[in-house]
Amino acid sequence: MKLFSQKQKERTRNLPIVAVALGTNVGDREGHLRKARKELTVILKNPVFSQVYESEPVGYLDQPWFLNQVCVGETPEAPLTLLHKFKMLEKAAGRTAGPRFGPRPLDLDLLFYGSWVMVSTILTIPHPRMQERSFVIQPLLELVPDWVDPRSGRGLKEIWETNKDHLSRCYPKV
Amino acid sequence: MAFSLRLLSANQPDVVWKEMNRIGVSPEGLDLMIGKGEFLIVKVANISAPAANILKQEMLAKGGEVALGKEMAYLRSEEGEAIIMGTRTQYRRLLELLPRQPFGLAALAQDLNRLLETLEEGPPPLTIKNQRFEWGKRTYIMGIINITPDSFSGDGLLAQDRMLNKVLQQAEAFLEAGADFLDIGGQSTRPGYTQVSTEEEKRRVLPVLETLAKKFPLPLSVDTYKPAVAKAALAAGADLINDIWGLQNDPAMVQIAAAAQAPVIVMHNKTTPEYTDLMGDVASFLQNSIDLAVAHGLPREKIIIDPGIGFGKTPEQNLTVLNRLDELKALGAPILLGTSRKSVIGHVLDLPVEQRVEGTAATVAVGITRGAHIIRVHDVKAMVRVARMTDAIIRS
Repeated sequence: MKLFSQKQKERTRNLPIVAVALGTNVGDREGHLRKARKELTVILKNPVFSQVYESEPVGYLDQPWFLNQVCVGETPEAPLTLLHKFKMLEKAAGRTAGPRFGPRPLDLDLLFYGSWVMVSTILTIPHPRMQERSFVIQPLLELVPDWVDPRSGRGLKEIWETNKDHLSRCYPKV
Repeated sequence: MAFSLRLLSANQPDVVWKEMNRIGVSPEGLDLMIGKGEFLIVKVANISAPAANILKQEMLAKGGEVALGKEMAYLRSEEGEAIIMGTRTQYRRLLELLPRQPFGLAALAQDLNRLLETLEEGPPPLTIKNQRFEWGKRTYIMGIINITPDSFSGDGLLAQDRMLNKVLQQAEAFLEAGADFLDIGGQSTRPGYTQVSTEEEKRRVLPVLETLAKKFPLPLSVDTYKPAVAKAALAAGADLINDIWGLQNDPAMVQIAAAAQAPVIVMHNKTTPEYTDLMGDVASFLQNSIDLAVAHGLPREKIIIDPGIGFGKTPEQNLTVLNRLDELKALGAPILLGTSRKSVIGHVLDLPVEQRVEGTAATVAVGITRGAHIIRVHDVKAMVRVARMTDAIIRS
């Protein structure tokens, strides 16, 4: 149908920039990351990915090391829609690996959504514990070094300098 | 000797039933055969290849079919999608066997069973302000009342009085013409709109809601995506929340709706019209809205869904959603359709907004035929007539 031409071309809007943390420590870790990257390329616009990091488990120590990565991109979706899409990806990754208890094969955390600040039982952004996670701050430093936490007004570099000495171990994967 | 062939209308169980009855089919025969005159097509996502192939065998044995992609059929991919095609009776027979099959087919049987039940039962009725809405009995009409800056020409109390009088007149005309709901909005959400502050939005809608709530028996909805406006509006007399972001923009919205136990209209929306699977994405979004509301304690019957014609969709996509609206019946919620004077009509007919009544009428007639339970319109008098006429045809 040629009824609708150029006129309808959606005017470009300023879409919010979001960051997502990817984590995996079960099964085919590289495979989970690869699939997640492919899906995120569809969900987000103009996505960029950090390099892959390996990090030691936090909390439950008796489990394998994690592969981590961060993706920054633009989103046309509302915050809880985006969250829902991430949950579906996590679920899909869990299912192909078979029923399992303990750590999930894929974890996707929404780190921030534009400069939104919100606290709720469903979603808290910016992510409440991102400042204590080296496997989040380091990759973020690669992608958006000038990001400022809208809650505290502190920049990413400053957060890193303050916290880096007491954070868990995390290295770029070779 | 010549036979005479005559085609019968398909996929209308009433029609098949009447025609079978007319040729003298026994009551037992009617019961047994009615399910064979109704055809259902169901798409399954995330099904494993072995499960899909078992499903295909079983459905073929019942005389139905399951379409699979090549990769799935040759077991070259682990999981994918399948399309099941068959009569209601074939599905029922399939469901007798699936629970004993491996690869998650028992769980699929539960989902399929729930889907068939949802389609048979239709959305549960809802009572608002002592009015009982029985979805599908007739089409309900929601009249749009926009409170825009030009309703405020002038300043001060006098201007507000004038505005309230104008709104009251409009509401009375809508009531007289046969409206069942009034939708009050203080922020235009047309493409390219300018944002209005929360305080300004409240200043526009709250006095109107207070006045209408005192004088009108009709359920009032507040058209807003801001939790603060919704909360104040409910306190001022609104009965429902109409959220163009389907409770998914700000998590406070679902909490306010649940705390007030207020019915909600959840609309599909996104900022850019990009989809991998348009109808799948719309359905999945709306299911997420329903799940969010239910998880926060809002009863299922208080959730109304809206596919969001004109929001985050190209004109072609809007037409597709309208033509495939019946797919949303699977969600088990009443469907509200808002097409009134929208740009998709302007694009097809190449007409400005004030000349889109006939185009709107076409969308209303087709929308009702495809399963809309409520239509949200500006031209209440005209669209009540279109809805009554369409109801008379399809519900006779």
